[in-house]
Amino acid sequence: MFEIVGISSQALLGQLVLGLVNGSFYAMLSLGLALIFGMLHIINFAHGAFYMLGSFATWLLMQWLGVNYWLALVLAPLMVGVLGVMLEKAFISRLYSLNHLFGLLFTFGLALFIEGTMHEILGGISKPYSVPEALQGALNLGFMYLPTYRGWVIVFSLAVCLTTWFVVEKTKLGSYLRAATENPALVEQFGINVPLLITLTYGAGVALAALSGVLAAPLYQVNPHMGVNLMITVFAVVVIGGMGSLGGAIITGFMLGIAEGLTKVFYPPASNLVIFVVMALVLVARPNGLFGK
Amino acid sequence: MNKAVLEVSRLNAGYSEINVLKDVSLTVKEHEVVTLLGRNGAGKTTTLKAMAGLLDDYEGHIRFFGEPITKLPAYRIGRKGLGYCPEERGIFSSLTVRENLTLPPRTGDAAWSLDAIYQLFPKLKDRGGSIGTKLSGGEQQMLAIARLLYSGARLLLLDEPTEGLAPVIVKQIGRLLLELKAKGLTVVLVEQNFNFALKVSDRFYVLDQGEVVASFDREYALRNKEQINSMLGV
Ligand SMILES: Nc1ncnc2c1ncn2[C@@H]1O[C@H](COP(=O)(O)OP(=O)(O)O)[C@@H](O)[C@H]1O
Ligand SMILES: [Mg+2]
Repeated sequence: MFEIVGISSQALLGQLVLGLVNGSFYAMLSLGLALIFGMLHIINFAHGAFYMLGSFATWLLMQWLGVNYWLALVLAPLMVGVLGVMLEKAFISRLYSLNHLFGLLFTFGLALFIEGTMHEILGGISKPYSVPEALQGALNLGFMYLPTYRGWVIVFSLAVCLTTWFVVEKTKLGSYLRAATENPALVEQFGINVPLLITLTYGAGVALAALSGVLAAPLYQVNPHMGVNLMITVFAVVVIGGMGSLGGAIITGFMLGIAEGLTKVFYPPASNLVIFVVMALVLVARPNGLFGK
Repeated sequence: MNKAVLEVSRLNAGYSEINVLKDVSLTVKEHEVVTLLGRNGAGKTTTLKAMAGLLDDYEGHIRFFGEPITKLPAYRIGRKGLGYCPEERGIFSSLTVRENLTLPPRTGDAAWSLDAIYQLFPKLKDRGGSIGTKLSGGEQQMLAIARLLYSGARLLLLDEPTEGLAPVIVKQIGRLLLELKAKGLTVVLVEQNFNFALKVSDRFYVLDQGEVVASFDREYALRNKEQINSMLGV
């Protein structure tokens, strides 16, 4: 094994994996935010609450119905996505004709409401959720042992991010979304039901957040406020990447996860700060973000 | 007599408080090219937008092939085969030429095949993979019209298609419109360029300060060019 300035390769690789795991969450969450922002022009402050709901749905499905992790991976995002669709239809869609700040304020209030309600119903105590059997243990990669579940989170979220990117950038449905982001009125005139497209985009973005929540359930404790701190970092990631590009959101998410992990190896006290330092630097040099227009 | 494709009666519209259209009525018959003339700010674009379903609020009635389309959501009007090309042409910068061309859902049996479109616009085939807005202004205008043909639109509303284009390109667009007319399409044109409009149009309406102040056919226009030009203030 090798050493760099007195740091073992084990520690380095271990932190790299942790960084990639964090990066997976940053990427999936900022991707959903960028998707929603593109169509709705709203910064979805309730994103962390939907992430938490995804985690809670996973836990509740297990507790109440005995639904396993694999089924929850499909059901929880679906349930939360449907909730998102209903909220968009009932409330958010009424705000489009107003200043976009109202959308931001509404989703901020929505986050407080959802988190408060969950706290009221289920209490502030964290709920444990065990790693599914097939993903327990560690993989021997030859040069290191990779905890299987962490490996799964990285690979799965990468696959989800790339699929989302592919759908938006390369398919017919994606061409509707891209065009409607530029000029919704004209796209609608061409015969496309843009209001429906907007509703479904919100549902999909929210479902992505919930899917991250499912992935998080076995890693972190399920707790009504689990989304709050995470989202502070994710918003910094979004500021760094710029809201304009889905690919940018994915790359920025993973890169900053890695940056955080590496900082933990070389200078641990700065690891919680590094993303915000990068954010400050990016704001000075490129106010629209690295991938912004 | 050809049947009416578009019947607009007593359109009144405005932006917030300001009244922009006053009792605008007009009729467009099948296979006609009808041009709306008028100075800048006369209300031509607003009239087209109302017909396309893109105006939030207006009074009056609009029928398309006899069917009321007053205040329907824009996507339902589009699906009936009423095609609209805005003044800015509406080519999307996040879509390739091919994606731009095939964006609208195909409606009715009038939708052109890609082959037929490429035969008429070979450039669009060659540049299919480029970003839509990388095309020249003239090519973008061709793409915008081709896109409406792909969608199967039976009526084309074209807002100043020759604006800012070189005379050679303007000629091409003129030939294209005559070809489309010969193929049975109906066109409503908004034009500042009266000489161009004269070459392709069957009938004219003149708008001034939101009102229809004159309407005449091609023969009258040919005989009274000077008078019309002075009415348009050019
Ligand atoms: N979005 C808008 N908001 C407010 N006023 C507008 C808007 N669009 C056009 N107008 C006004 O409506 C009038 C008619 O405009 P328009 O229909 O674009 O005329 P034209 O196409 O004949 O040049 C003009 O006085 C213009 O200033
Ligand atoms: Mg105009």
